[in-house]
Amino acid sequence: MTIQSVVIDVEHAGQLFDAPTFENVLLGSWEQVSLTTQFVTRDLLERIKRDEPEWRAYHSWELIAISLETVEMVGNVLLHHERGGGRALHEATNPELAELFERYERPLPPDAVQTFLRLPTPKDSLDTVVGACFRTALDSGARALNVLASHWRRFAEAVRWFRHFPAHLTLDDVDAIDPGPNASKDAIFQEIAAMDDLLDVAVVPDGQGFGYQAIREPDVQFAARMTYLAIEVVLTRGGNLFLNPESDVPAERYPKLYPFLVRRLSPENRSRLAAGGPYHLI
Amino acid sequence: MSVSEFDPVLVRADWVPRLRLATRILRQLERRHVYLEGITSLPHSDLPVGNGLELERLSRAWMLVDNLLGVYAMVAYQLNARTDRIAISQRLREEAVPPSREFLERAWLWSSLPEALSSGAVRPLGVTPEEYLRRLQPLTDRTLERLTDRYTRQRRFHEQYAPFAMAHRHGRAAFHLRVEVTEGPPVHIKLRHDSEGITVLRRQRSERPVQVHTLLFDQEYQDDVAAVLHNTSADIRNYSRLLAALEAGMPDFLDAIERGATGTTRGRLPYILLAAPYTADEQPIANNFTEGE
Repeated sequence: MTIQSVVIDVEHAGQLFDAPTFENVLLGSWEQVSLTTQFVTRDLLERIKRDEPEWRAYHSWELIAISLETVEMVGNVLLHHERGGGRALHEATNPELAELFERYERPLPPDAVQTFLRLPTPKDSLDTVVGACFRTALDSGARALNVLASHWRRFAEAVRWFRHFPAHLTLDDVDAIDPGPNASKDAIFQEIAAMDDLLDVAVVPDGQGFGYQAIREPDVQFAARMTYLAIEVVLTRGGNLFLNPESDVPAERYPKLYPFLVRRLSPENRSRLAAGGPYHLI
Repeated sequence: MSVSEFDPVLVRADWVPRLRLATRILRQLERRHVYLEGITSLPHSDLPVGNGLELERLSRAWMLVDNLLGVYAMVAYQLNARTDRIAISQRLREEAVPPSREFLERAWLWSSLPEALSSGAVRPLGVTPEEYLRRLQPLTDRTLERLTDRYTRQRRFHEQYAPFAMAHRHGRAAFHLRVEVTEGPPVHIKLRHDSEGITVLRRQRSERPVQVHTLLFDQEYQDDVAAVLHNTSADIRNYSRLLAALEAGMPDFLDAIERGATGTTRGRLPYILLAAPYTADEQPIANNFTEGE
């Protein structure tokens, strides 16, 4: 039987959703999906390098769509965190995500970031260098959430078009359909003419006028980075949920610092922070 | 309705954009299918875990079916791809399974044939339009039977795999887990890791029961995906040929209605037949149509 379905009644659902290990188990199992996501993203970047223009455009849309899907996992986890559990990490609706990411685009207080990433304050926090490094790490965490939120908001509509129903016109179609002057069309043509590194434009009829979705080469490289960043954010929280102080393995014993948190620190300061935590540098 | 009664302004402003939109979305679906085939043939040895690419494949197969069903709804109900996007999804969900004959006739444009024949927009091959339609009837019946079968399989696949595809689309949030329920009393429920399958949990409200769906990437699953991709890719190619033929014929058609002329179609009619094998009597009629896959 390919699909097995069971219904768990309300009385017993708490055994799943209220279990302290629930989020940990889900995020731990998501690591496999995250590895495939990175694999597929790298493959797309390779394809894009050697593609003809038509395929470069298609693969770029795929890559950007994957980045948004991955960022939505961050959204799911943020909602789960804000609501204190009770969700399955794949049930956020688009309006919920839109509201959430609008808030997370704004500056975030360090303690909120610390709580979300489940990073304990370093034991040597009174050490000036360790304290400063930790504040920098939290600031990097805040910026990561800001930039992921901003990326989602920027491309959500385009990806919705690409994934849900990619009906569109080309610029040539628009000219053929509507050869005369048209304010909506003319505005699009002017905006597009001013764009550098354009990869693809999909014109979408909008009432009597036109809208469009465009992607540029820098968008693709940026989207790939957003995919990797979103994965790091999710795995930071997931990895720090349950630590085992008795373990002999640093990755299990200490909270994890993924690269996005320490990228702005010198190698020496990274080591100072890791030792002062103590943390496990990934 | 005669050819001269078609309004060229309406045709240019409404028909042509619709046709181009449908053509472009079909092209995008062809690309999606090629990418799907390419991604699933990647060497799995580079991946540290086994079934990740299966999920990518399933997600895109589902999307392909979803988009194609959306195209049928868009064409059959003449919906605006932009402003009626939600209506397209609603129509898709509400359409009966198996679908009505009328729906498929509209989606595959067979419903336009009687008008095209009677208007002289296409030539009825030396017989009256009524006689031509009478001879064509068994062929369209068989074509619609096959389209019904394909559409039904696509809709069932769409419904069956939706929880996994939707979870993957929103957060790539499919979890390599299995839920174990030990019947009680007391009932024990726990999650355990399982690389062989994926689980999604649906709980719309905390006061509602939880639906747990686990998908195993077994042979039945492989057969389901292979079968639906076979049908869907054939339908995409057939539909692309139909639209390409209509697009190619559009300048002549526009020219004819502006001049009030008749007999605008040259060569085969664009409608797709799926009715082979043909009897000796049917073959001459079938030769005037495009044979689908």
